[in-house]
Amino acid sequence: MPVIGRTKIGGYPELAQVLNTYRKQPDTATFFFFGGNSLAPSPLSSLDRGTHIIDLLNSLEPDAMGVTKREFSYFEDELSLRAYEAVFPIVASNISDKRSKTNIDAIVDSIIVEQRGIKIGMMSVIDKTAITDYSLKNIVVLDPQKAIEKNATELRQQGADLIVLLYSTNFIFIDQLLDDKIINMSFTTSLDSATLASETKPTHPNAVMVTKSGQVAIMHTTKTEQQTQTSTSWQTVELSKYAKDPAIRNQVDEYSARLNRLMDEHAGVVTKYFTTLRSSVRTEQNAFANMLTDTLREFSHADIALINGGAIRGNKQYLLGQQLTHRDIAQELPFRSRVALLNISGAQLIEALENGFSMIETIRGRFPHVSGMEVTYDPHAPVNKRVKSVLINGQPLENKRIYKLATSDYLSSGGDGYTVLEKCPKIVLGFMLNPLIVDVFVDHLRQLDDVKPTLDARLVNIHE
Amino acid sequence: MSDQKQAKIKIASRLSLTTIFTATVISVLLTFISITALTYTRLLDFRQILDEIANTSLPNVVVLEQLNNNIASLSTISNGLSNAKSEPSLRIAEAQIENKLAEIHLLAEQQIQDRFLYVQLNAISLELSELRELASASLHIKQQLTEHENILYRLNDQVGNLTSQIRFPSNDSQQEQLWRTDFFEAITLASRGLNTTRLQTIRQLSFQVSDILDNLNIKIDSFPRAQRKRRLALNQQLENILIEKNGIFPLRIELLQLSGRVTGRGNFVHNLIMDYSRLLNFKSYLLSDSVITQTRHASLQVREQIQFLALLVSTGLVFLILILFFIQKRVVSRLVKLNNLVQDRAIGKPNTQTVSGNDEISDIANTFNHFAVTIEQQKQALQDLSLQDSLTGISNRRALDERLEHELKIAIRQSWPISLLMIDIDYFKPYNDNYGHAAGDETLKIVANILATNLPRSTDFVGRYGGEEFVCILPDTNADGALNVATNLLKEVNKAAIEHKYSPDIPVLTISLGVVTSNKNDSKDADTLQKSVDHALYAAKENGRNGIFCYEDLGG
Repeated sequence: MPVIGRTKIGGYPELAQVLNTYRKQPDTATFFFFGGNSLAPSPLSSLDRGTHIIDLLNSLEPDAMGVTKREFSYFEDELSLRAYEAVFPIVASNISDKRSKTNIDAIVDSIIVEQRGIKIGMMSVIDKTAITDYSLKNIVVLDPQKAIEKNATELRQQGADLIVLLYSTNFIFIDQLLDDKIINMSFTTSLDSATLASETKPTHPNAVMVTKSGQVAIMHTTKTEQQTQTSTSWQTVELSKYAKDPAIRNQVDEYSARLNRLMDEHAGVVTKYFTTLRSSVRTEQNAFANMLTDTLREFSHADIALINGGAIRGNKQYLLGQQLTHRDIAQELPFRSRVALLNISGAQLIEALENGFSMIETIRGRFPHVSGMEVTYDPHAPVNKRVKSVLINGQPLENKRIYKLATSDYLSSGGDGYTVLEKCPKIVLGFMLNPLIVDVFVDHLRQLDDVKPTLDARLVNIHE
Repeated sequence: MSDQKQAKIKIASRLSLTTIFTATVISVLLTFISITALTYTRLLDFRQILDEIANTSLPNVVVLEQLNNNIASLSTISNGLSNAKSEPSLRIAEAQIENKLAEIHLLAEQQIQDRFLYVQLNAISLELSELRELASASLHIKQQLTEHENILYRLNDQVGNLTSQIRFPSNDSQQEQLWRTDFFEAITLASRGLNTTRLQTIRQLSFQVSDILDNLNIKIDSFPRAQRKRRLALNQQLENILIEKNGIFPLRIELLQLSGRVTGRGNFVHNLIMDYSRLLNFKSYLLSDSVITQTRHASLQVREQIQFLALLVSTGLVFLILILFFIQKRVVSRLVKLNNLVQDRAIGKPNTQTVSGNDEISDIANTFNHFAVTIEQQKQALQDLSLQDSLTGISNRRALDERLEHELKIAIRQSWPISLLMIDIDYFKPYNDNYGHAAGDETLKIVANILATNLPRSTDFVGRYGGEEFVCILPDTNADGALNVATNLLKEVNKAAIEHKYSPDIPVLTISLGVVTSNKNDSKDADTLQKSVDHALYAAKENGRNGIFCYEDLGG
């Protein structure tokens, strides 16, 4: 009984081909669980908030889909809307909506899917970091282990033959759950697991890990009359080795065409080499980020600006003379963050910067990019003692003085650990809704046309 | 420094009144012209700013606002597409959308210069028309499904009727029952499929139905030929209606996928419209921000201009006051000074004030001074040349001396005697001290008049010798004659009875007279005669005043 595990975004036509191949096999039930991690970020998602992914999946007919924190890119209610568009169940097992005291509308705690008399119970859990990483206000993340145990009991009572768990963050209890047969299989696509120390990785033979994008995990289980799971094995397969399914390819092409309609619009010309590599925007001063924060500060008429490196997602290098389109910018800034303006004291600013520098080692998205200030920091100093000096427009920072800070609504609502910003009083900009940062930035680029971001002395690592 | 050099410097540093008046008038004019011109240009600038706000920025804001409203209602109307329950409601929604889009395009053409907004608007139009097609397709499938459902229920009825009409052998009946059960089972599964929204569930149901359909044909194998044919047709109909290309299951799956897509696209179009609205909002914010900035700038400029003009006007005023002050100092006060100087001179006051500077006024002052000095000098010269005593009107000392010399020469030639009288007013100093100099002068005039009018002959002469002393020259008069004249004069003065309370003797003014006579053979030396008569007068004074003493009586 082949089970197709989770896939990364992209390669949908190949995935369809894989599914077709297995679904045609006689006397075989092919279960397809989609692991999520796909609704965002992508240029088209920045326009349709992941609708097209659901449409593609509707054609791929998964048995169920799991939820990862990325599915919350456009917040809880948009995920609900996606669930209503989906013709398959979307599962999140350890989430409670504060407003309804149950799961998010249209999302289910767990599901039993049945094919040819075989019932598989499916669960999916996320980590608490989703709340801070995606600045989620309406949900609470319940303890994953307890949620798994509770749901597993219910699924067994409902007659599940097998129980499958989908997750996207490293949990230490996976092997234990498999050993105890609370669950029968686990799937994760976390790319982080590739870099994890081996002792923290699950070692159980039924713990499936997809650690590269463009791969699909295929698991076979044979059921005999006497007992379930006499033999189980899994392997990962490169999707690129499969042909493209023509129908799905057409569908993808159609989406590309629609995306091009909006995204091929010219935004500027690169006149100076720069990169937005993940390793750069999350660990050091970055020219593109400088340009972004400068734009934000000028637009808001603020004293200073602050943006997290995780807001920049292109992970690309830009060459001299390259034409930038809206697509490039949508790739760089896929999140629909809005401009936020707030009053911040010098002391609070230090606190925010300390948070920004607190996880340099693990290349997290909270690394701060600034404008209107010069910050000297020591990345090797203990956490919360990394900021060495701050100048605001050439003047030493005053702890009690109030500065006007431009940032994203994501950070201003405490995202990426910037909880200190949540306490700062907001300043009204004169909009019904503040504009999207990407709109402000694109507008700036189109006025400028020359895109030549530069580095200066605004972020100085004392070891360099 | 020589006078020439000074004159040169004077010419070089000269600031003429013409220059001052011309400069003053020109600067006053210039001040007013520049104030007016500056005010006018500033007002023009301000008007330009206001014009720009009124003609460009504000209309832009208004149009963007209208666009925004239209976009917001477009979003509401577009929901009608994805939620349409029938073809007519779809058509109504479509018509509304077309109207709205036309309105938006019209507005957009008016004001939007932003290409991207156009691109988005076109994308929205395209998306909406695609959504309409999808919604229409979905409705079409729904319709087909409804028809299929009806057919299904008709089949259900047919099978029900069939079995109740025909009697079978018990063996057959059992077969018939099995077939019928499976047939109904397939219909039940189909109607479950019609009511579920989970695609995989339908897929599984369709697999089950396929299996049942396969079995149905096997189950009627043993039926009599006619019955078998009839049932085979029913089986075929069921298969067609359920799992063939346009059967209930494929259609239901297609409908689910399509509904998901319609909902998704509906949401997408909604988002797209919201994005567009958001961009418009952003643009109108930028515009209104620029209007606000412009207005703020304009009002700042106006304030600056008002301050500038106030400064300009007050500077102008100060400048005018300075000019007035300058004219007052330079012209008026110096004219007043000149006037005072002239008046002082006219009444003979000494020259205390001077008019400084180097212009027409100082020229006039200098000229006037020059003439005044000349006049005084000439007056002095004239006085020097005069023979009359200016106070008493009788001859002065100079005339007296000349006459005496003259008369002495005649006396020598004619060999006749000549007498001299010297008269002095008694106690004149106390008189002057007590009655004042004016009264003293007046008394001197009276006494002189008495003396002049009481000389007996026309050839007799009286002159003021000095102070309160007078001398009479009596030609061709001997000692007796001289004494008579003296006696008469003494008598006349007494007769005049001029009050003199301060005289120690009597309270009237008196005179003392000395007389000397030079007979025909005596020396005729003026000095000697004068000394002699002076001695005689002194003797008269010594003799108790108010009397006459003759030189001869001294024994000389």
